[in-house]
Amino acid sequence: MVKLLYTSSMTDKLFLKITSHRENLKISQGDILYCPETIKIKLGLNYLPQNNKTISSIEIPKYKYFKTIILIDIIALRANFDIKLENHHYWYKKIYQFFEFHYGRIQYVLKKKYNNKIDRILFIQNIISLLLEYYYETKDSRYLSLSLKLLRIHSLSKIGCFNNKFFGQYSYNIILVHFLIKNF
Amino acid sequence: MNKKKVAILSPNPKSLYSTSVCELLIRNKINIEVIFIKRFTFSRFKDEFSRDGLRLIKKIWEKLILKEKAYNSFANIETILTYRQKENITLNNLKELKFKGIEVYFVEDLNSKFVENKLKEKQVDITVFTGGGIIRKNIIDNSGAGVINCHMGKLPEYRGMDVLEWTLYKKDFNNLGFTVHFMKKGVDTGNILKVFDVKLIKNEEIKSLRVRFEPIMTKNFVETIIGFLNGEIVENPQAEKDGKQYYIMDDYLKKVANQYLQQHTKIK
Repeated sequence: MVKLLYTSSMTDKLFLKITSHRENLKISQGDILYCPETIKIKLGLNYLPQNNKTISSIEIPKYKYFKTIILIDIIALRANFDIKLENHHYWYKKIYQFFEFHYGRIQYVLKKKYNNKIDRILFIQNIISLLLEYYYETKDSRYLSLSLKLLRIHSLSKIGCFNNKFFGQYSYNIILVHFLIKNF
Repeated sequence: MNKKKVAILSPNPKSLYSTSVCELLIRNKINIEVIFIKRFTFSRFKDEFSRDGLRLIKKIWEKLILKEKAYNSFANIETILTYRQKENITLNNLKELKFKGIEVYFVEDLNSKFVENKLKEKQVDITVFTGGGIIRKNIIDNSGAGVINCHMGKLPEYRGMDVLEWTLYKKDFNNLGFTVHFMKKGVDTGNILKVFDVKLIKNEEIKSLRVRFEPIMTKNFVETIIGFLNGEIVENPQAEKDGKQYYIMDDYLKKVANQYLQQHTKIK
């Protein structure tokens, strides 16, 4: 297992506002569609709303191609996380490859998929959560790297250009990635 | 015995790597039939920028603007510049080879029909890749035994990009090296010719390690090409499942990888 050297000299600008993100998550709970119970406990996020039980019963379809993926697929994949299942594993791999391959034009790809900015942010932030939760379970640092790169896309962290408030799921991701870097 | 014929693919006419490889091949009686150089155009810049982002600006700054000056801060290690001096490599621009009767073409796309047709016409034994992006099947299929590349990581384990950084991040210090291999449709999945180790020295950093790789790779790349053309080195297939494909590493993880390297080489 790779243990990161988390020293004061290595602080990343993503974590400069970590306290604000904790506050923001409390007031933006409504943005969170799902959070694994184990992560809730470990990160002290018990205040987050109960997960919708029906999500866990959603069957994950066969992966076709990126264009066909919708938000509920990602939420269902997060709620039914299982790397041993071949179909699930295939989804994680394909999603990872797609975002790495299209990283340089990701905003264009997302704009093509969703017209509405909230939908784009909701989708990408749930993808990042999926990647981080995959890293949490497997310690495959490629997924951590991609999550960090996606979190650095500033325009996908807030809804309005002049709005200082971060999206709740973005704050969740920052808190989670900070925890993973400090503890893994 | 007939002289072996090769074609060269290059990212830039003044590339220290490309010019060094070409001069060493010529010295070893390898017949360079044709050279294709990727022209620097706005669409190339756009494509590469969408892939590499700000790294591209850094690359342009170092390779096209600073050139030799980029090596000024590496006085105590062997760089490609000191290696060229030692080996008396004087070729500075691939265009100079036109005067030796070698066909040199500037092309927008190394995978174009023009390159494909030229390769068909020349019937080379192999094509030597010294950079310039992804090479498609139409070029690979018309390159004699194939397109040979030198990859800055040990195959099959470390495929793709930033593999030096990924090896260090995983603290896999005994697995640092490079691989001469044939290119295939999948990234770094073609047959392997030879895998080389690179040993760490004291007070190493990623920047200096990358610089140290350049002359070692150049020398061994040429030797492996000659060995293969003479039938002394054979290709070995690699299984796709034996390795992972890596992409550009996040800057924070790079800093961590560099810190691991500094710590590891300090103890030595």
